[in-house]
Amino acid sequence: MSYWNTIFDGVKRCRRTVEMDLHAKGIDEIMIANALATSMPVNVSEVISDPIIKEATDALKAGGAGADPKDVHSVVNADKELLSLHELSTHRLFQILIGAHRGRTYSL
Amino acid sequence: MSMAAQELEQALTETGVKVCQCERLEQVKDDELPIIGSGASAQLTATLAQAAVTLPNAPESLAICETRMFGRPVLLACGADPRGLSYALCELVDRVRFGADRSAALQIRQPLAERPANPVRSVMRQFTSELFDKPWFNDREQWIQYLSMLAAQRFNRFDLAFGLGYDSLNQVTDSYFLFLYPFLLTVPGYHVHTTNLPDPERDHNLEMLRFISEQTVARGMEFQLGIWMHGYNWPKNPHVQYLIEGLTRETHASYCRDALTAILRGCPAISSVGLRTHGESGVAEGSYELLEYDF
Repeated sequence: MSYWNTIFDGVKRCRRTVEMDLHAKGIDEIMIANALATSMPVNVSEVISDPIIKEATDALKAGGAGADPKDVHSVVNADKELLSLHELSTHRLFQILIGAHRGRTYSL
Repeated sequence: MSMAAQELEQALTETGVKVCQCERLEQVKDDELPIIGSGASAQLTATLAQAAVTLPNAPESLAICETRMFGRPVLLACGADPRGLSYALCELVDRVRFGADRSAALQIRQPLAERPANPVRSVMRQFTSELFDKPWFNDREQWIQYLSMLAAQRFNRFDLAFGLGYDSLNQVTDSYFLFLYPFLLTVPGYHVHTTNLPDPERDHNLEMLRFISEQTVARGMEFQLGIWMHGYNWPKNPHVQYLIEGLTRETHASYCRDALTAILRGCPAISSVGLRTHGESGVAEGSYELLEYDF
């Protein structure tokens, strides 16, 4: 028996119901089938894809425009305007969590 | 639910209100305000109908309203289930503690009837740094306040995750709790241990995990244990204080299985295990074969 099957067996051996929450990245139908074969509840979860969070994340990764990458002060000043994007992402996550995100968009 | 009732009693007491818990409405004096906490029932539905309020027919729903029972005014806080009732009581706690006019905090002019938008509302907290994360992990008072706050804000799951600080074992510098099991327990039949980790500290870690998971469940939430790193062999370097010894490729899987079983048996409040199963977990992708169980 290979590694993940053995781990699933470890959950089964505790002799009570314990859900297995599998991070979606990298799993396939065989992995899911093996997890389900334990008769334990199985979730496959992943970080959600949201257009607003994606846009904010992409902007943060790109950094501020016009910065000199060799000058730390220049980078800090260029990134200042991006700091609110962290807050925006947090607000968006909270909206999603409470279900208040449907049909709403932010204007940047 | 009982914790939410205690919170409400404490919040009211802190504002100078005298509180007493009664079993029956007749025990409440005429000049006192009865606050009735109730689960779903036919009588409750009828009482709510008098106030033109409907408790949503969904798990974890709540309703709060002023109405009359047996000819006297009452404040009714009810839930479709224990969690819903807990949320109703916590809503009153919030109003008492943070309302602009605390004397009016329990005057519910507009009835409230709410249901969750999402069935799972979870917060994940990660342990990734020995320096920064050990203090809060071991702070019992912090956990009581933190978990109470999550429950009051209607989260229904808490996920404590370990081993997410690294996507690769090549450049590990802080390995505390990275490969979780030997930081929590010894497994009979194996001689696996963590270098530089005193046995009492290891045992205390498991005790803390049990405490945190039990305190989570006591507040009506589910506890998920997140195990993100399954590799055990990281290069020795001057920054790494903890290495795993006694484990081989041959014993790796069976040790993890037995260790996981032991943790789940030792911490019965854990109701979910989160697993990272792709290559960043330290185990090569495709490490499985189709499995069949006989039931």
